[in-house]
Amino acid sequence: MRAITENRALRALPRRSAFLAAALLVGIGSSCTENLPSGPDTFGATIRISVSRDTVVVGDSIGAQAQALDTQGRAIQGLKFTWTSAAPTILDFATPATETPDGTDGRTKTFVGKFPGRSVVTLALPDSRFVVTNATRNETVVVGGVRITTTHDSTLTAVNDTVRAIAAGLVRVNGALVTRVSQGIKWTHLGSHTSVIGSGDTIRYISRSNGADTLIATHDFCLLGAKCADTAIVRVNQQLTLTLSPKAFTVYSVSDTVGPTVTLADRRGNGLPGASIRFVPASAFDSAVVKVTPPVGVSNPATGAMAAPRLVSAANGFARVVVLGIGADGFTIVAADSVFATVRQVARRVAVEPLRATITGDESIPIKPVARDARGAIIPDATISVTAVNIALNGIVAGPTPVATNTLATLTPLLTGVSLPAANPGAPQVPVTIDTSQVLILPAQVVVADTIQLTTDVFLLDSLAQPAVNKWVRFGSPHTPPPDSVQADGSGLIRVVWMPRDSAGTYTLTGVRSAGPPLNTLEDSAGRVVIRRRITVVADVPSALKSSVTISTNNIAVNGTALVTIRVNDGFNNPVLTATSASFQITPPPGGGTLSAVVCSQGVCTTTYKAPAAPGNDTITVQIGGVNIPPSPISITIF
Amino acid sequence: MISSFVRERLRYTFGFLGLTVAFASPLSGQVARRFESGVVVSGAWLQANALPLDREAPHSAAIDASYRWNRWSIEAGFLRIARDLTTIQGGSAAFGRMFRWKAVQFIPAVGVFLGQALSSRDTTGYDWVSGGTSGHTPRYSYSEGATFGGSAGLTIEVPVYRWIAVRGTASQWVFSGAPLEGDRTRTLLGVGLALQVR
Repeated sequence: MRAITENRALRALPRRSAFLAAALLVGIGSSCTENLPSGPDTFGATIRISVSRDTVVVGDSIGAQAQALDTQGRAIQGLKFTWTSAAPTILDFATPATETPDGTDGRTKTFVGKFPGRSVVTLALPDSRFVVTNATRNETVVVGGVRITTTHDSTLTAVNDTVRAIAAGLVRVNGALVTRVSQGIKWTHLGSHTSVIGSGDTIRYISRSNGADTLIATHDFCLLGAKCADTAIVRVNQQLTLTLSPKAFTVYSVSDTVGPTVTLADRRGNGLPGASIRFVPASAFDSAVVKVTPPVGVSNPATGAMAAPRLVSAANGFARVVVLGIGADGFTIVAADSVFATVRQVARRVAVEPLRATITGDESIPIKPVARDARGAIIPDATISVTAVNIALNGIVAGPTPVATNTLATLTPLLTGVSLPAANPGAPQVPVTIDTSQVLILPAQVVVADTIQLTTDVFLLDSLAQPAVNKWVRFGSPHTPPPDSVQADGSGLIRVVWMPRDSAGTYTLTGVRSAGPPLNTLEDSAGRVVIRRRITVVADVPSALKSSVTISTNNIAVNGTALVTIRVNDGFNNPVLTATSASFQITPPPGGGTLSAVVCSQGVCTTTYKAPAAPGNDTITVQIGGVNIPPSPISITIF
Repeated sequence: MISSFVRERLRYTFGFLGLTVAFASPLSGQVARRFESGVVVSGAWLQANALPLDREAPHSAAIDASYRWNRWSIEAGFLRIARDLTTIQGGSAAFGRMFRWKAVQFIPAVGVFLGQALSSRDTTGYDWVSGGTSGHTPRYSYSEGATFGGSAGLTIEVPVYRWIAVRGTASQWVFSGAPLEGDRTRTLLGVGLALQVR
């Protein structure tokens, strides 16, 4: 029974089992939601560049780390980063000598400064798991300083001199800062005395004018705290040289103007604007030999040709004249040299002056033997001898030589000595013209008063023996009104009319050429007196109107005497020096008095009246030509 | 390397089996022989060594039907192996030899499997460090594919009541298939019931 039951149970089992198995399978199958984790597709993260500083010196390197943080701020490990530099020529990445996982995967990177500038370093995370924004960082590559490798203080001695200035940035090599070219140096030029050409490391500065400029080498990208500017001083100081051509002069005339061509220029032939040239005779003696004129001409700074003074010969001698180049400031001597001048007058003419003169035989005139150079200047050291014909010559005084008739005398000079052309071979060998002086000698003249009007002619010649047209002759005549000055006419003729006083006496007319210094000494007069006339004025015939008679007293005791004085004058009240008792008539006194013999001297005649023995009245009558001489008749009372 | 967690589960499982054997020992050999032939349907919960399952999904299990004869056993059924990140399920077949000691059947067997493998693999997560602490944030990629497997295992059945037996099973599986790349072995420990249906 039990077995039957079990068999039934066993038979029933397959159905139940199948049902159970099917239920399990359905249960399992219906639970197909596995809920296996998936994703996330992406993670949120941020990446950043961690670097100790943002500035790298060229040649230097710094390490940088890439960091990725998840949304909880946790550092994500094991990522691979990529780095890019926007300007690899400025900032690049170093290849590590030994590879490390961090280096290979870009978790660390070494920045290397290549060239000054800025570069944006971008850190990217090329991992599709992460949604990140690239991290960027501005890295600045700088130089470690700026250094001018050429001179810091240069002086250019000529305009247009060109010098190079070289500057370089300091970069790091093996830990040390060394200069390296082509780092982008910038120059600042302060001043206007030079011009700067070029840019970059090497520039050229060209001197333009005197002064100092400053060149400053800088760099836009330079390490903070480093010497980021270097300064060079450029001085332009033209070293000027005077070029004088010629430097030595020999002149043969006074007033000759000579002078060198003066160039004041630097090595390159550039002048100095505003510069001037001065001539300074080295000594007072030199100043006597040559004079200096104001500058002549126009300076040309472009060529250095200078307006320079000229030397004017003033006297024989040798002169050294210092030539000074004066700077634009007006007092700085920038160059100096000397020129030498030898003045040796050589005669072109020799003369005895005055070349023409009119004198009376009893007069003399000072003459002046004179040699003149080509410009008519007197040669003071000329040796001249004079040969006089028809006139006495005593030293420089010609005359007096009494003559009976008009006589033409000559004074002929003879030149010898150093002023002869022959004595100066370098001078023009022009024969010396000899100008002989001609002196018209007039006989001595005596004229009666009131008849005097003398006309005197003389030709006025200049130093070339040519009519001295329009030249003046001044006149002097002591005790008489001198004639007015006379100007030579076109032929050089001087014609003067001289009217001496009516007073008896000797008068002299002197005509002097109006030139030169006043007549203070004999030398002043030498050669300038062209007229010297003497005239003797004698009184006219006695005149009753101008003559007079006086008596010492009108009351005379008997047998007493009184002096009667008769002054015999001509009509011009001139004493008639030649008066005698015959010049007037004295009537014998009618009252019994007597007159002694008349004695005359120098126009004054005297006689003594003797009263009679008895008192009474008497008269003295003196007449000239029948006319009483006032107060004739003179009444006399005898007591 | 077996983790302490697995060791703990194994200890519980084998303790359970020991107690079962102890309780089963008094059973008669007649009952034991009932399971030596015929058709036996069994089911087993196989998650013992992989607890907890860290996802909302059916645990590992197996449902088999075996035919036993003359101390041989051949069985086929459905096998599901669920792990935190993988699921292998499909049909399985095993061939084993039965040994009996008292009322306890020992069935060592070798098996094959054909089915599908589902896998979520944290191949693209990331490690992180924060304040001296390190960690990992996973990122799972799901894949599935066919898999073929083979196993060797031991099943212990203890009849407990007429045509009902409890069974414990331990097996080691190896699977092929791309989803299981690098993670091809599975160790299964579990308990279940066996029903003699014929």
